Amino acid sequence: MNLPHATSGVIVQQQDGAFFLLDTEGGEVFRVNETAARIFELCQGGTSLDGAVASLALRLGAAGQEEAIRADVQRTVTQFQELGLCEPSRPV
Amino acid sequence: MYIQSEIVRVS
Repeated sequence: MNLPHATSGVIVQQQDGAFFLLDTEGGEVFRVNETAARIFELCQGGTSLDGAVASLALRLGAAGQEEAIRADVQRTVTQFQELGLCEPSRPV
Repeated sequence: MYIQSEIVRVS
């Protein structure tokens, strides 16, 4: 299973230690923490769910917490889709 | 320690 693709026109910005997702077409702005920013970057890269979990565990120093990370990634990408930041999942 | 994601719409 792959993560949903990021919507075109949405970019990640870092300013003074804070992370933002900017919808350059819709004009909306979301303040996010580093975890959400990293998950969004993985959506931009078309990463698989398993790959995303492994990448986050490594980058965020959370080895051994893969189950919690997997649940959080699934919750987060669903929220991205509801906010229009990621494309809807294709029906299987 | 894994910190859960947070997303807040801002003005």
